[in-house]
Amino acid sequence: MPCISADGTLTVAARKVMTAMQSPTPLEGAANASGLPLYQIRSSVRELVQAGLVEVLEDGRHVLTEAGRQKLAAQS
Amino acid sequence: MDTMPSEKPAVGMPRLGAPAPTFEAATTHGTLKLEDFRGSWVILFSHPADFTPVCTTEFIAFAKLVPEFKKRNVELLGLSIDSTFSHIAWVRNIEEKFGVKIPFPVIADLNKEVASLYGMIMPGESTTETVRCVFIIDDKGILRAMIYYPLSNGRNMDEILRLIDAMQTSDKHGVATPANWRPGDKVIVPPPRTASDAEERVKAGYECTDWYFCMKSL
Repeated sequence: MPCISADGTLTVAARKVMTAMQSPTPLEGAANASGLPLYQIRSSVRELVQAGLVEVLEDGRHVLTEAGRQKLAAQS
Repeated sequence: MDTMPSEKPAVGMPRLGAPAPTFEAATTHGTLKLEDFRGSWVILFSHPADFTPVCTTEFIAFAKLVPEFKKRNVELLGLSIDSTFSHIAWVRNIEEKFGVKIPFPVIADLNKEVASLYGMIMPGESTTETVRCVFIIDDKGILRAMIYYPLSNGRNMDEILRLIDAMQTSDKHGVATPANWRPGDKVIVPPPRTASDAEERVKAGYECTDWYFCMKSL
């Protein structure tokens, strides 16, 4: 999974996306905050949601899960 | 009995004006789906192989035009039948040897899935490499243009940029563009479809050579 390296650590892109999602954020906002293109945000978020590190709120915004916060903190 | 030389079945080709074939592929920027690019125009382009000279010049030329493509809401997406590791090594080599960072993703199409969907393999040229294709997909996912070049000759990036400008101008203003059009040049007013409209057209204030050939400035 490109967001998570083979050794279990977060990739550079994943860390940028997750840092942008510490509070509820629309995908476009995460793109602006991280400097990553929107297509890469969509791809990364799909994988981070699958991994249980990011969740989608009812209003469509995205935010880190508790597991996501811990994982990000462990690598910061 | 004489028989025709046997030929492999024709490669499927996408069609202009139809939704671009969807895919999910491993790239140098992670796993991407075509739908991840919705809302942006996409230039999907293939090259024969990593670490080859013509392709290297093309990647450098594409990379240098990225700011111009961004201004036009266009993302680039490369492809060849090579592995992600090969792509990563090659783009790193381009940066090291030529000082140019490749900022766009490159599909690692080892199983030829995307290449087959888009008709990028021309057996007369090579059965193992993609030819130099360019597919321009608009922000609604519609395939708008295709350009094919042979293995031996690099593409003209200015023409790709010019075509993007022309298509976006046509979409925005409902006009066509003449041969060799450049932004700022006069555009073609679509020809009238009825005799009475033709009559009106020549009085409408356009620069008309005849009823079917009218131009205007934007």
